[in-house]
This record gives sequence, structure tokens and C-alpha cells, in this order.
Amino acid sequence: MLIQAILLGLVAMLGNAEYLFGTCLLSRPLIMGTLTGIVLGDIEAGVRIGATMELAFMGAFSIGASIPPEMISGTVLGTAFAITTGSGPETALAIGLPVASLVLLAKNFGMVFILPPFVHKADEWAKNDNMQGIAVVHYLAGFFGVNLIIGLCVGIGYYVGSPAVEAFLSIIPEWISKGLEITMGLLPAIGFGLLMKMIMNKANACFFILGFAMSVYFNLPGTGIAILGAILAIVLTQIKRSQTMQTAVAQGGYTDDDEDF
Amino acid sequence: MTTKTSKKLERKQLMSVFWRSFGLEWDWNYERQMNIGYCYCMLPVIKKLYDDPAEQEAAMKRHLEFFNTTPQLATLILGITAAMEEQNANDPNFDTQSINDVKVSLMGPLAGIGDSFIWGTLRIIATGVGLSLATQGNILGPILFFLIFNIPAQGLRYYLMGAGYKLGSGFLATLQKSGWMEMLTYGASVLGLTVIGGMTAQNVAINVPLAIGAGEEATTIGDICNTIMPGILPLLFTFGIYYLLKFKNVKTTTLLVVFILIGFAALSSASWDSLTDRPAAAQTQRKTYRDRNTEKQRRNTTMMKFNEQEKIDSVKGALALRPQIEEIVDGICENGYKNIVWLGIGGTWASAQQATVHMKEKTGIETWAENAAEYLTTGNKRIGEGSVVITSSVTGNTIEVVEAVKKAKEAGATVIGFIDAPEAALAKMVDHVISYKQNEQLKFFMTADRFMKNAGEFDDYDEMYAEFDQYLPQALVEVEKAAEPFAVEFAKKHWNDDIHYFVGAGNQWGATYSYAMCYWEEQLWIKTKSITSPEFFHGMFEIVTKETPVTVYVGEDRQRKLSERVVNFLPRICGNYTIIDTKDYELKGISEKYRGDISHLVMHAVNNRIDVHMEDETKHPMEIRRYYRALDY
Repeated sequence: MLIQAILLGLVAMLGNAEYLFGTCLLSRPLIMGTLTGIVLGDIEAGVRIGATMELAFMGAFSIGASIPPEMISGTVLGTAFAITTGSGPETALAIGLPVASLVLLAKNFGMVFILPPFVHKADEWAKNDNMQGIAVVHYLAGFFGVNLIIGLCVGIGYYVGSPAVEAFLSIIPEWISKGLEITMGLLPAIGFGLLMKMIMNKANACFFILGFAMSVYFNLPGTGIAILGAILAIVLTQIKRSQTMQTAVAQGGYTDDDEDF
Repeated sequence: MTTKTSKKLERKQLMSVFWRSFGLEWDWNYERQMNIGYCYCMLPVIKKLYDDPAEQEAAMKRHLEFFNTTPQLATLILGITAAMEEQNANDPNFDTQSINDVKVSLMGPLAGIGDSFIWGTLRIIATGVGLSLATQGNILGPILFFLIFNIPAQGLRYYLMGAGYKLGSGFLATLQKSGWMEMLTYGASVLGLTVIGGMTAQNVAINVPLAIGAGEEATTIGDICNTIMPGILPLLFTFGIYYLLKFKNVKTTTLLVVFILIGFAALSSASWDSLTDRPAAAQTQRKTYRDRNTEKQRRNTTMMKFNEQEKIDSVKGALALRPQIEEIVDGICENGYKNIVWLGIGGTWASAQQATVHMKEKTGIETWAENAAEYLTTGNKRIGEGSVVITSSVTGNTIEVVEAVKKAKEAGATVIGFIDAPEAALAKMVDHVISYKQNEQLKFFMTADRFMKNAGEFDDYDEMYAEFDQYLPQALVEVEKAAEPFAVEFAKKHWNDDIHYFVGAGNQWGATYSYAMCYWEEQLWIKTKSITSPEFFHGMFEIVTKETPVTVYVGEDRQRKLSERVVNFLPRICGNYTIIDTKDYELKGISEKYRGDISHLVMHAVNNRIDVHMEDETKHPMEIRRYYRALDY
């Protein structure tokens, strides 16, 4: 129990450490769920639940200065409790969503009270020409300001939360988890909506419909759609490119002719 | 100009910047975002280029300013600023302000293209591929997800480091001028949107299960919408969300809360199953969860379409017909008869064959099963004065049976009819009518047994039926309960079979034949072939291969040996066979010696559960007929 709690805390810290490892998506629910499954000895359930959480948190990614719900703790604790209580992804979501919001508070506490002093310390070291100092500040700031907080929240949450969660789950009416399963069907729309907001305009909206149609009419899986989409993108880019070049050549040619006379 | 030895960055420093850039977001803060990370990345450059502490300080301060962009592409700007620092170190007239200007002016556009390429396209492709495996619990899902994202993303990080340094501040401008930037953005958006469209279809689930019309004509709004275009509701819903996000600036947290409320509101107004209907493509993906859940429900709560009391009452009621049957049979025996003819067509003909086999075991009475339609065309000279014709019909208006009874009566036979509907014309034509729903096989066996008892060939009659009256109804219900997990698995494995072979013998043969034809073919529309256990080795087994689905019914009557022969042989040629052996089911209160006489009823109980789950898996309602009673023949 204690060992599992420590390991889960470390998993969460590893997830957050994606910011140390090139923002490599370690923190995504698909990975976190899997690692949680490995720690608790049920990899398959971890992968499955991680996949569901991934969809639910599809819209949770930091673009610019937006801070999404703390999905690492949400996923790890949600998945862990779903596995230990032998229940499904809807339980993971029922636990994960509130946990993600709660831990975001803790994370923000760190961002507001712990991190800024480090930032100012860095300024100070810069003034004193202390390169070593800046390097140390860099590592300590991320560790104490965010990483450790998440790890503690998850580790302690799992250790003290287990009995509480089991008690809570036993009184949770079935309609709540069923209602949440319906919600799970809707949630990915937020993520897709956010992505569309980012890249869609009137001219390229048709490609969204194309991908949709490929799925509903031809039952193509994700990989197939991606391959066809990539081919389409390459072909269209080439056409567009040759058009621009032709225009350029045509204009250039005209100027040359002009000079000859 | 003080021309000291010119300062030059080496590969060593650039590689160091590249590796350090992995931690750019490690201490992301509200105040200046990636500032410490950026400065940390630049330390090797600063250390190499500047010896003067004041210059080093100034450089460090420069790079502690606000910075934020797509982290995987930041090496481009790092490379550019490294080149600019190098220039600055060699040119005292260099305007250091321009370094921060370049940073500020580049990070916006780079984030624009980077966010849509890295987050909008690459991440989505990786997620799409990963999820398609991960939803099945496959560990390759997360692994592929990680690799598909990181190989291009980190490769780009590496490439842009060198490119940025080589090209200096002119790089982005060159890209923009040559039109490459525009192409890249365009191509990324085409790919990204196609994938997002596909994922929307697969993952957003919504249905309006509001019914229109009544009874069998009823359809739901969701179904109607799907006939316009599959998944049109999720499509419109996602567009709606897009509109709210883009043009109404609705917060995602608001949407989240609204979605949860919708979930509960929808649940209270509709049945659960219809709400989770998903577009075809998504069904396989998500099926696993639903399977798990429904399985759990099946095990923990009640069995689907199973009313225990109703079933007990049904068998009890059939057994209670015995005094009525005895009276009729005793009357006939008193007057004498020469033979017993079991007349029927379809399922009834099958029951007739079972009754014949059952009697053959024990009696010398001349008896056979007569197919109503065959009798009408070829006739049968043996049917006439002194013949007892026993038939059965649910509706009482099956055309062949009605005509055949007419013909038998004209020939002088006495007819006993088990007619479920007492008001039917057939009920008035027969000499003796017994009206009770279902349990045709039991009714036939009770009749046969009474004839045999009266012939002095069935001494155990009273003892056996005393046991049946007391224990059989409950015992059969217990069989259905015990068969439930098997039936769930069986249906899951075989609902999509192209063809299914059924083998049976003895008093189970008629049921094997009718089960294949009347349930799988007529009601489930799955191709079948049924064969008797002895005939299996005279043709059919040649077509059986490793994958061929074969089900063998093994009863406990005298022909059990024939079925056992098939059971022993099958494993040598087939990897997809199922044995249903009545011996596996406890029949509480029923003596060993009578089990063979009711094997077919036990098998029927097992098949009942298979039917329920086959119907559930295929989603093909068993009541529908394409042609029967729809087209004339």
C-alpha cells in the first residue's frame, strides 16, 4: 500500500517531468494510465482506462498561457482507484475530474507562492554573474514549484484516499456513473472544438468533413485516415506550390521579354 | 575596431543548447513563462562567447526576459539568438536590443504554426493511432502514441537547432518570403483537420433516443438522423461546440459542467442502451467497455429477458394437461387403434420426429412422423380407419396442416390437436382439442407416454410423472440459469458466423434440425446446416476445418453413443467446436433413469439462453420475417 502510493507519486512526477524531457507527452492520460496499470499489476485495464481518460482530456493541453486541469493526478488517481475497486472507466472519470480540479488548486498554489521567488532569485544570480546559480535555480524551481507538489498530492491522495474512495464508491448511485458515461461521449467534442478553433477556417473546413465521412462511411481506422490525409496534404501542397511557381515564371518571363525590346 | 580573435561557437555548444532545450518548460511561470529555461539553454553560448562578467550579466538578463512558444520548435529561435550573440560578441556596434526584438517577433508566428502542427496535427495523429489500439487494452497503443509523436517532434527540434543557427535572423523571413511557411501551414491544416474529423466520428457519441411512432414501427430521432448521414448528430454537436468556443468565447470549464448536466438530464429521460449508440466505426472501439459493463450487470443483477416465474408456470401448466391427455388417450385405446401418426410441418414436424424416436426406444406400436405437405401430395395409404393423427399448431391456421388434417379425417383417422389458439378453425376440425401455449415437445411426449403405458410397455409412467410434476419446472429454470455464462460467451463468439453446423442424435435430432432452421435461419438469419450424429461421418465431416463452427448436442437417451462418437472425433479436425452435453446440468429431484427422456427439454432450456444473447449480439430482432406470411408460396 505504502509502496504503491510512493510508486504512483513517482509516476505522477515522471509525468510532470515531461517538461524536463522535451514536452514529450509523458503526462498524457494514455501514458499515465498505462504506467499506473503497470504499478498496480493490471496493465490492460490501465491502458484501457488511460484511453478513455485521454479522450476526456482531449481538450486539456496547454497552448500559450492557458493552464489546463491537472490531468496527471486526475488520471493516475482515477485509474488507480478504478483498478483497485475493480470498476470501469466511468469510475476513473468520476474520480479523475474532481481530482484534476483540486490538484490544479495545489499546483496553482505552487505557481503563485513557490515559483516566483525562484524567478527573482534567477534575476539576482544574473546580476551577480552566477551561471551556476541560474542552472541550480532552473532545476530547483521546477522541482519544488510544481513537480513535487503533484507527486505529493498523488502519493498522499492514494494512501489516505483509498478507504475514503471505496466508501464513496459504494454509496455512489448507479445513475451518476451512467450519466458520466454519457458525458464521456460528449467530452471529446471540447477537445476537437478547441483544435478546430486553432486551425480551421472557411477554406479548409471541408477536410474536417472529409475525415468524418471517411470514418462513418468507410469505417477507416485512425491510422488509415491519417495516411490518406497526409497524401492529400502532400498532393495539394505540391499543386499549390507549382501554381505559385508558374505564376512567378509567367511574370518573370514577361519582364524578360520586355527587356529584350 | 578591436579585432581580437573572432569568437566562434562550436558544435559542442550548439548540442548543449539542444539538450538543454528539452527542459524549456520545466519551470514555466506565470510571470515570464519560459524565461529561466531559455536563459539556462543559452548559458553555454554565453560562457563561450563572453569573458567579461558585465557582458555575461547583460546576456543573462537578456535571456531572462519573457519567452513562450511551442517548445519543440523553440530551438529555431535558440539557434537564431545564438548566432546573433555570436555576431554581438564579434561586433561591438551590434545592437543587443535586436536580439530580444527577434525573440519577441519570432515566438508569436512560430507558436502559431507550431501549435497547429505539433498540437493540432502530430499529437492528434499519434493519439488517433494510439487510441485505436489502446481501447482494446493493447500496450502497443501508448507505445506507438509516444513514438509517433516524439520521433518527428524531437527530430524537428534537432533540425531547427542547426537551421536556426546557420541561417540566423533571416531564416524565418526567408521561409515566409519563399512561400514555404504558407505551404507548410496549409498542408498541416489539411492533414490535421482530416484526422480530427475522423476522430470526431469515432469518439464523440451522441444520440437522441426519443421515439416516433409506436410498436414495431417505432423509430428514434437518432435513427432518422443516421439515415440522413451516419453520425450527423455528433458532427453537428462538435460544430456547435466549435462555434461557442470560437465566436462566443465560452470557457471550456463551463462546457464541462454543462456536459455533465446533459449526461444526467439525458439519462433521466431515456433508456440507457439507446443513449450510448455510437456510429458504426466507433462501435468496435468502444464495445469493450460496454461489454464489460453489460457482462457485469448480467452476472450481478438479472438475466436478460428471463422471467423465472413465468417459465416455471409455463412448464407447470403443460404438465397439468396430463389428466386431459390421459382421458383422450384412454378413450382411444379403449376403442382400439392401428397406428399413431405424428403430423406436422416445420417445427412441429421436428417435434414429431422426436416423439417417434422416443417411442421407438420402448414400444412395438406402429408410429411415424408425417410431413403435412408431403402427405398432401403423395398421401399415405397407412392413414385411415384406426389411425390416430396427432398434430400441433400455434396459430391453428398453418395452411398445410389444416389441409392435411382435412385429408386425414376424410380417410377416417381420429385427430388429436394441440392448438394454442382455441378459436382457430383447426380447433373445430379435430376430434380432440387441447389448448395450451408452447411446450409442444412436452405435450407430444406426454401423449406418447400414455399410449405406451396403456400398451403395457411403460411401467414407470406414474413414478416418472410424479417426479416431473414436482421437480421438472424448477429444474429447467435452473438449467437456464446455469447456462447463462456459457450462452453469453457462445453468442459473443458465434453471432457473426457465416455458417454454423449443428449435429445431434436421438430424441434431440428433431430439435437440432428445428433449432438450426427455425431459430438461426428463420429468426436470426444465419446460415446453418444440421446433420444427425450417425450421418456426420458420411459426407459432412469432409467440409469441417480448423475454423468451421460446429455445435454438437449430446443428450442422455440411447443414441448418446452416436453423438459421443462425433465428440471424440471432432477435436482431431476442428478448433471451433462446441459441445452441449445435458449431463453437465443438474436436474434436482429427477432420477438418473429418466434424464434421457427429457434431454431435449434440457437442451431447449440451454438454447433459450443462447437465443437471447444471439439476438442481443446481432441486434437482429427475432420476430422479423422476410418472406414467411409475407409472400405466397
